[in-house]
Amino acid sequence: MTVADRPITTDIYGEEVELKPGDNYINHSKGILSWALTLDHKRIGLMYMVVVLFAFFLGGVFAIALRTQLLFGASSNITDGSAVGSALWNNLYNQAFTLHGAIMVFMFIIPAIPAILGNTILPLMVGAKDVAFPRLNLMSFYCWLGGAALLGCLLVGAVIHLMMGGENAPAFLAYIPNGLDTGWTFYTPYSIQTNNSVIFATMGAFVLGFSSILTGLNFIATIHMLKPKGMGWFNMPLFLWALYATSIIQILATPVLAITLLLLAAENLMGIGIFDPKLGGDPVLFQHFFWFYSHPAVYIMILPALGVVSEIISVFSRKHIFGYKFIAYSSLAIALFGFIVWGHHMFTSGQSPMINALFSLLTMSVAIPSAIKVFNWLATMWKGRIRLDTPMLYAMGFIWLFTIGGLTGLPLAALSTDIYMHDTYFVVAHFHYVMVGSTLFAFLGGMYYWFPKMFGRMYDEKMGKWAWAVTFIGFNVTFFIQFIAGTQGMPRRYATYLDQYTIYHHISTLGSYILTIGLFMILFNWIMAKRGKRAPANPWGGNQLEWHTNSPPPHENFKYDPVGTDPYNYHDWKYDEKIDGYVLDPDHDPGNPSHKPAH
Amino acid sequence: MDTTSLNLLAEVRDGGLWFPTDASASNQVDSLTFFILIICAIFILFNAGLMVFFAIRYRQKQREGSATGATHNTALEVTWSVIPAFILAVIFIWGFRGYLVQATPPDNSYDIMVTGYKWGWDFTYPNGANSKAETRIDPATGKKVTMPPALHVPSDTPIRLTLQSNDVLHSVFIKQLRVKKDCVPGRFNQMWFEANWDDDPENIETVELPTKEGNTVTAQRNTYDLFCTEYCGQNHSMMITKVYVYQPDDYKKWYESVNITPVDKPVIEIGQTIWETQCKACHSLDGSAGTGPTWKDLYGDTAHATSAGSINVDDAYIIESIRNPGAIIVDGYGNNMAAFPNLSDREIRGVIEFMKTISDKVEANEDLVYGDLNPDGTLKSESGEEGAEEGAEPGDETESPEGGAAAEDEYQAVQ
Repeated sequence: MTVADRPITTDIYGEEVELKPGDNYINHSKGILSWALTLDHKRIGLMYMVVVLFAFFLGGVFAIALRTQLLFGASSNITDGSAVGSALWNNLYNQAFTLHGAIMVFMFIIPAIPAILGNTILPLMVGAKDVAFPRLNLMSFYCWLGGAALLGCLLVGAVIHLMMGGENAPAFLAYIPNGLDTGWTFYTPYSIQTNNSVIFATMGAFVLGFSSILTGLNFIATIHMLKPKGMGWFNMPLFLWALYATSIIQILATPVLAITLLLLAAENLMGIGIFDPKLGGDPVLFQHFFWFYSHPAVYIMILPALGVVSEIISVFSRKHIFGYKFIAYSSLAIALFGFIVWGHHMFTSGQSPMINALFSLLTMSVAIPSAIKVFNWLATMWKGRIRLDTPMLYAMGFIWLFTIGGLTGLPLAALSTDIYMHDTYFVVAHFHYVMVGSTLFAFLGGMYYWFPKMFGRMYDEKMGKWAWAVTFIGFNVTFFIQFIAGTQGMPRRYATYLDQYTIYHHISTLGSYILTIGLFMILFNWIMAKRGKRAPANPWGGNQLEWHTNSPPPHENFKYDPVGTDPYNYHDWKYDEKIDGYVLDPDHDPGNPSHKPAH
Repeated sequence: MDTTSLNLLAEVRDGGLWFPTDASASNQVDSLTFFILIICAIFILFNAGLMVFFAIRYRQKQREGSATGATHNTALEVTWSVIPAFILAVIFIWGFRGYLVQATPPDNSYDIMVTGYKWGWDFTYPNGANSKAETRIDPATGKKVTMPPALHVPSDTPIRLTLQSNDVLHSVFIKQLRVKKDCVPGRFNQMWFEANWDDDPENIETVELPTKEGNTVTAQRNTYDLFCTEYCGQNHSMMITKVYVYQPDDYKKWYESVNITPVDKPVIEIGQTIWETQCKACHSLDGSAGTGPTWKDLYGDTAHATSAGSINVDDAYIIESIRNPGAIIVDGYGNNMAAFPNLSDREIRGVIEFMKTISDKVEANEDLVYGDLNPDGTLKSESGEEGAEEGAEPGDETESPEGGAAAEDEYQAVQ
């Protein structure tokens, strides 16, 4: 038996602890039902991880499918009778980009950080036994599954149509949803005129929305009610501020999406005439309703990421976070501004110039809190004691991607330049840098950062760094070139393109393959960590409360009620070479029941 | 639209390292974009540079210990909030002023109506005429290729496009002219631009145009791209056409020629061109299923609709299906077709005669030429029987070959 396999780990004081069956949340109880009906936030977080990562895989399959199609989409490949440019080709492409967008947005990016990392870490961070409403938490998970099942119907339906459709299609085929080709935005009146699957998709997104609302509700209640002794609003870890701001958006904006999607379904089924111009409706009204949710949703995706990066940068610089209050308030400011900028999605729709001007001005104001965060992170690194482990590499990668993604928002926020850039690949590149690059990198960084806590094992550091390099290069190759394609006028959502854009598409597709390799390396690394070294309680030396318990934590999270202190003060944690982690002197742990204050 | 015509569309010459060729006298985009990109580059390099520098300079030598240092500095925070705010204000005002120019067409603009439909464009000029499809020879294959109707405009003149849509959202994007605006069904949107004349010979194409007198003249034009940039379904990426810019004198020649159809042009050819540019996406000729019924053996056949029972596919039904497609929907198909109000009665006659050629059920009228048709699409020789049904005057000989009194209108805007 090797050293790594000894069932022994260390607690926060560096004392050896023998691992017994049932003393951590993973082996606390056995059987499928003990997972399916669990109320433990950590187990719900892990179940979310499995299904959300599967959704990420599915969304990725569509991404690779459409990028591969674009490898051949140049107009010189189009001749009469060629596959390229045929109805089937175009329909497949349209379905691929729609399902890629819908799955990635509704099933991956929105739940990724809040549902996986938030669920697992938030109660630990506030030193609580669980979230405020554990049953609602489980219900949110099943809402996610229900919504996913409805979207899954579309996939199955599309496959059935592909196999059985054509000249002699059986009659029942008309009742089976035939994929989805509206784009994830469901713009009317196209979404009213195309096939019946829009109702499945909107219902799916509707149910997924409830998952999001319930999670947000839970986080707000937990942060308000379950903070431990000694933790006030201004010595809360910044990840909690970020999740709090996110939750506000989730519970305020998501119902608007629900109403919009219900109206759209009603329009589809009953022909009410809200959005359909043939019946006196207004298609632009749908865009207003839709983006009133979906623009704040962009901040649902990015705000938790900003929180994760604030944690990682400080812990891995071994230095107190710089400008705590500015970072905390900037999260709230982004959440607030996020609600009043939706109109920039309609700059070319014909809305009045004065409204456009107002939205342009408001949109730019979001740049200021974003810039504040980036500068504060850099100031945190300044004179720090930086360790470049995998989570820190992801955090630094995040700063690079977020800076590019944020700044390229400027020509889209400024009116005259947006008129040109609107609906070109420039927009595609911009939001992939923000939503995919930044959020994905923060999510991966957060996964690596909390991996020892969640699973009690260390991942392979060398492999982690290599995989980081491959994903970082792959991502930038895929999307940076799209800024240039967009500036050259390449419109988005094109299944075929003029020859002059060939080189951009080829480079981008190459990048997407590299990115895929990198992501599989990460998955491999995580799976192999099953046999990794046992993690100490605090491998990185953070002072946030989740590091004040064993890895993995027991079912009830803490052996005693922890006491909140400054989460970014790392001075009391001493490095212990033997366990490659940080340990606390019991006399410096105010939560320890045997602790006696020195004075 | 004919798929192979995309190849010819791809020929447009396009310089510019960062932006495409700038053909716009009303360009409000490039200078601000370059300004923003320089700001972006400075900040990105500054941030990334500092980050990498710190990561190397302050990399820990040992795990033990933690760093001390300032945890906040209000003066610094205010500084790095105010400086970006100031830059943003400059960008906003610059962008807004440019946008006011983009959003305000000059009073003396020349008006063209643009109608988007799935999946093509109709352009209607002040004389009521529409751009017609053009036949070109593909230099690669030597085959005749039908190009979809293009937007023809005079240079050095403000052009105001009034945009509408027959079905779903579309968006007009002319990258070399730096303009974009959505076509929203139920609304009329406006956009405007002024194209410069580009005298670079590589961007000049010489075309022959018919005249009223029956001979031809030549005209020169610059060529640019027009994309649809609002997703509109299956053939969104093929909803591309060209913009032709003529100098005002040459534009006048084109404008006068647009409504002239040679009297000896076979009617079937007219129908075939319309099919290739406007019907092909949904209606096949070989019996294969599409969004709409195939045209093979359709004319003279009987179709069935729940709402109307059995229908004979004859002239009256086809005319109704083009003018008011939702009136009767044949079982098994959706209400997906937009009306085509811009097709003239004679053009619809062309479509009907073309449909006859691919139907076994009727004899085709191979010899019919454009001169044989009355303005309402009826046949001059048989106007006694056909014209009676449609209430047209028999023996109407007064029509000039170019058709439509509107074509006689003087072309005013470039004078």
